Amino acid sequence: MRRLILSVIAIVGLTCSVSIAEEMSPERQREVLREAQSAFDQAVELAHNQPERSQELYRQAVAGFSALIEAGVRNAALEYNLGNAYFRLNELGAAILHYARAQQLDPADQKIAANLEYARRQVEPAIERSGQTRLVRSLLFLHYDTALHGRFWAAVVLSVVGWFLLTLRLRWPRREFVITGGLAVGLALSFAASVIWQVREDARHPRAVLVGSPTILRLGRGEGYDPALQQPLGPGVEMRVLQQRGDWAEVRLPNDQTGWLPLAVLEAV
Amino acid sequence: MESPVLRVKPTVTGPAVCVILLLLGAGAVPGFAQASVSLEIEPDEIYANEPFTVSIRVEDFSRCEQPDFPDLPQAIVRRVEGGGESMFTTIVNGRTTVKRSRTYTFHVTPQEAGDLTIPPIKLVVDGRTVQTEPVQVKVHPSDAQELLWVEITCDRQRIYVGQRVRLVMTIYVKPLQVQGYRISSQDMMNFLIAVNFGPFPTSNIERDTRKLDRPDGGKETYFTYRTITDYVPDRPGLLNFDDIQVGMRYPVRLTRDIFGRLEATAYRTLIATPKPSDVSVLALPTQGRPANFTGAVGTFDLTVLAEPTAVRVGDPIKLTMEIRGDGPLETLPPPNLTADPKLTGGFRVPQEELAGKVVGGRKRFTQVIRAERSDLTEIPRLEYPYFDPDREMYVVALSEAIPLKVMPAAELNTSALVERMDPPAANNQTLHALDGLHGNETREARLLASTAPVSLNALALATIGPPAGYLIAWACLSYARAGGSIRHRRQKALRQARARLAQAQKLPARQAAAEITAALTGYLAERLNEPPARFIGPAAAGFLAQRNASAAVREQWQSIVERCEQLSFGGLGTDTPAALAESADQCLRALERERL
Repeated sequence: MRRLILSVIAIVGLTCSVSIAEEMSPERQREVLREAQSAFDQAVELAHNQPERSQELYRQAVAGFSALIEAGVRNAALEYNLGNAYFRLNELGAAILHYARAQQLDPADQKIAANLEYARRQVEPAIERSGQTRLVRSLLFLHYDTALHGRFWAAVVLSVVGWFLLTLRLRWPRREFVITGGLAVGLALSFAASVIWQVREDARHPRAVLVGSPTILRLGRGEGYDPALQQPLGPGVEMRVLQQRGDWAEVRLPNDQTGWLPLAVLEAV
Repeated sequence: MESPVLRVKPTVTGPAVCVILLLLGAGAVPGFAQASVSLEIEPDEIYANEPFTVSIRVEDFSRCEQPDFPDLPQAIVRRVEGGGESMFTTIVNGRTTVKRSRTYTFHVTPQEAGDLTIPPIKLVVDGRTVQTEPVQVKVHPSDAQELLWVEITCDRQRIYVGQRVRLVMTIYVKPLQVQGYRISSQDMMNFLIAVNFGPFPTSNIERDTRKLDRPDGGKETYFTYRTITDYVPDRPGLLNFDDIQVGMRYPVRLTRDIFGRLEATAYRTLIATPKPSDVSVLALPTQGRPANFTGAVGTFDLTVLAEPTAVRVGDPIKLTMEIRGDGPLETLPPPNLTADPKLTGGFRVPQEELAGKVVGGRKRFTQVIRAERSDLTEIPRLEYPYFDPDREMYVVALSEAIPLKVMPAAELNTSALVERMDPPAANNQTLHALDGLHGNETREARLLASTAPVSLNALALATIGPPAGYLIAWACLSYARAGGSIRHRRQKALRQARARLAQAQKLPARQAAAEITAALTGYLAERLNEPPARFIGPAAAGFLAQRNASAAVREQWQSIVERCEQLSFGGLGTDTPAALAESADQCLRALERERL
């Protein structure tokens, strides 16, 4: 009991640190990070012999990682660790949510991709992407498989280099400058278009993950509507939000099935 | 149906109003003539069970009420909605005459042959009750059965509910030859009306000509039109197609229009229904029906693929089941996996109803199952029971068993599964955890780094900035090039002028004077970027004054020009070419210092 109270106090303490998150100094950030990592390590060690204590420690780790994120520390590694902690807590929806956020920040990271894939395999029902979606993703692999930041900086660097070469060509009219510069500018425009498209798409139809309990996808926005699928959607099912009306959201699943879900069970990536 | 070649004249005039105004005076007052009522019957020959048209035409009226057609004991009367109406107005010398006519149309179908009397039909016109004359028509016995009939045939006499069979509907039409015209099979098809073809398609109709036996032993030629469909009966009993109706506007009078095309001017309306079928549809037997039978009728094969085949307990396994056979694939039900105890004994199978998709002559269903135990070594042979209508018994199609490797899930939650937490400064290679989950990231620098969100404004700035720099560089370079040319020309002007002065000193006096003058004007022209003609003689002094040259320079210029003229024409002066060139050189130096 005493241990439980201490745990609660620890969680409350970490939560309080969240409330002053914006004021968190770099030293404090390092301290919170070490506490969270330490709690995670202990949880792993105690998982066999003291599963309840292990769960408490995982919750402390979650609180610590979350506090850092709310303090403005935003990176793929932190989201990934948070996803791991949630996974160990058997909160599949939250785990996939944070893995997905991590992957959005660093799509090339193999560990993130592997853990996300592993977590997705636990989701019920297993929903496959439609054939059309798979084809589009294969053709536009640079758009889908590279980080938004990476494409942004690629656009910036290629634009600067390309236009610099074209500027050099004004003084020294050499063919190499035109070809290389034109190519660089063309690539820069492609990356810029990709970034703009993704930013706009994420704003119009944000990605979301079902984090609540298993919920039935319905044909309309209300419990009175018929189910669009007989089997309830379990936590961790990913989707795009097409529109929101009141407390309901129209969503599109990876297999292009659409329907309505309560907003309360969804969380945006 | 293909587009008709023959055209049929409409017999019922549509609503139309024709007004002709002859304005011969003002203050016209309308007036109606005496109303008249007439009755018309079409066509000329009337047959039992074929509707004919009775038209009541009322003319020269202002108000007319709907006629009341009396009941006929030997016929069925149906009023045709929307009769035609026309109006003709003339105004002559201020008097307006309106002629108005209206037609009421009825379809009368006599039920038997013989004489049929259409009694007087009363109607109220302009407040007066008028009536038509009674008309007696002769109804001929119907020969419609000889002109048009329909037959539906099946390749089997006994079929089962759910069994796919091929049905052929054949429409027989007696060829028409009237007034020396013979209508082809193609043209006759254009008179067919698909009132209700039921499951049969109205396109891709095969045409043919057949000779059939007549009761008197002779042969009769018929045009035939065949349409074929695959049909799956859904209820037991006799195969019944009562709802199918094939109509035909069978022409009886033909003419050619001004373009030489055949045109039907009168026709009979025929309706044919198929003869009752003698094909029995049987219910599926209950005896020997497997528990997991889902309703498939035909003969089928089942092929199952699984992916992956090495999993841990709880991992999803995607089963792809493909069913191929001669049954109706579109409506083919999925295998009932939840009713298969061999599968449900070791695997978790969702209750979800599978939709399935027809792909290349086979129907494909996919389902995700999960192993519940680690001692499973295979996915058992799946069953797909079906009823074979040829053998009239239930048969079970079996797939092949699929070897499976299932690892225990107990390893999933052990602490050993997470990779070590050593600071991986030198060892950042990821270790693959036993449960498939990779361990935490431990590098502080990575964990505390912050990634600024990408904003479209920053992207716009980064995308527009470099080309803007390019444009600025281009503008600067262009400006520099243009300015350099002027500067270069100005420097060149002084050099050339001085060279000409040096050359002038070696020339005879007259030519030297001309050369010195030319050197001065050339200098000014090059420096000021103007044509040399503007600086000849006294014009140069005026131009220098406009450009605010100093008075001393202007006087010096004027003096040199005068001296040059004296040397050139008068020979009065004491100047030598060398002295004059020296003075001109001084003048040029003075001009170089001026800001013109």
